[in-house]
Amino acid sequence: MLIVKDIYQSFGELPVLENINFMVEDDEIVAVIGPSGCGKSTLLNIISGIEKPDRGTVSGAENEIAFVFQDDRLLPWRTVWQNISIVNDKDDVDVIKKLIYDVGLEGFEQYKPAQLSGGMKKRCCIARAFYYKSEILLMDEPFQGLDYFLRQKMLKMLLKVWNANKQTVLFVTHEIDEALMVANRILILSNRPSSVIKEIKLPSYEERNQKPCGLNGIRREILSIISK
Amino acid sequence: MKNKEITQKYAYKVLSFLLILTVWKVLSTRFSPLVVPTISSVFESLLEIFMSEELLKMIFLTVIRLLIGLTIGVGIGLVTGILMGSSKIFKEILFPIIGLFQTIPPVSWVVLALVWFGFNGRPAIFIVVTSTLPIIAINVYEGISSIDQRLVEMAKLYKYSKEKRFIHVVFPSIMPYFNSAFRIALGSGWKIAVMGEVLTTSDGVGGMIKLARLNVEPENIIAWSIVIVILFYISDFLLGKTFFRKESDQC
Repeated sequence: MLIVKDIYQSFGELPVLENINFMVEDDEIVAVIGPSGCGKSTLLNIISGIEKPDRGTVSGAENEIAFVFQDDRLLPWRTVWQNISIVNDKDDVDVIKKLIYDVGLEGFEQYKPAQLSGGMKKRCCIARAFYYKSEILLMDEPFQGLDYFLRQKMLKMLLKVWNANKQTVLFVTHEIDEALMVANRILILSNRPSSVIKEIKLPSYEERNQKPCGLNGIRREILSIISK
Repeated sequence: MKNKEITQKYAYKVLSFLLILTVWKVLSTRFSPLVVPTISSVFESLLEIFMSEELLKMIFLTVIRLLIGLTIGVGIGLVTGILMGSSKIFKEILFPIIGLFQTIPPVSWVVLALVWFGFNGRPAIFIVVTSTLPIIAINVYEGISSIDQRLVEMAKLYKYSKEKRFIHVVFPSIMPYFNSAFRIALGSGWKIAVMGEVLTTSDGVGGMIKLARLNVEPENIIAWSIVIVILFYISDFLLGKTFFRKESDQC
């Protein structure tokens, strides 16, 4: 279980996060939604250990963490295949091939990041994170820049990978529909200095599939909170 | 590259070569052979150099001195650059020392080296070391400083081993800096090695240039200088074909 407790973070005089508290159960997908610049990426950086908070603790993130960074962070001198395979010590060729196929990069295995479009780099980054054997998966706007159909495909893939591995997933997104499609719970952050102002538990996937219009009320609720 | 572009590239090179020959020809007709020797006399001297085993040995001697100087200079420069790049304390301590190596003229080093090593060619090696060291050290330091910290964070997060981090993050980041530094060091190394030989010994290419100066044989001075230019292009070409090519394939 991932426990984020009393996190405070500021950049110089600018307070960014203030008293952030939440938990993510094992094998739960939690989406974090909030206005631009409210510190969502900072929060993921703190959870991953890349940044140290001014105050507060994160527990349960001591083991392997996979991270789909907002800015890709692919090795520019390595190919798509190498960027993915490098994260594990032994190459599982079949798994890598399948992942590359699933993210739609088949035929681009030997391409280097500079030869790929922004969306392709993002997908390579997603494949790398899925390939890494981790207990926690952090995703910072992972599907930004992908077209609608590709985004739907990636979301389905996330659910498939999650069903198979049952990881703890925390993903930051601007798209309410993405959160409604895959998350078990949604955390809404306030404006800067941000804290969790609302936590919404979503119905099960079966319920969502049976009554998709049932999500309209939740969508409206989120919109009204964010717009305030 | 398309065939047309390649042809054009070589055509420009031939044109440039012809331009030099034309200017040379014009000057040699206007001035005495002691000031500007004729093209044919220089060509004859060049032939003599390449036909004589004794003279080829002189080239070999300079090559060996340059290689020893470069190896030592690159080795110390690499270690110094890595130390400066990995620790602020080392940077503060070593940077002024590197500054000294950069600013002290090679001629001063030659004079000092003559006192330390004598007239035996070692001063030539020594000044290649002193000129190579700062170029390599500063560039390796710059390379390490410019490593993308976001990639380092990614590598830590995905728990890359130390070797993996070095091979896949640090090494490729430094290599472009090292490559250009090495090319610069090689180019200046030829000149400096020969200068050291001119001033401190009677063998090697520099020793032959000194001999030609004493005998007032400008055609030989030019011929030996052409030998150095040819050697530089060969070494640069070989480096480009092997080491740098492999690296660019890898990166």
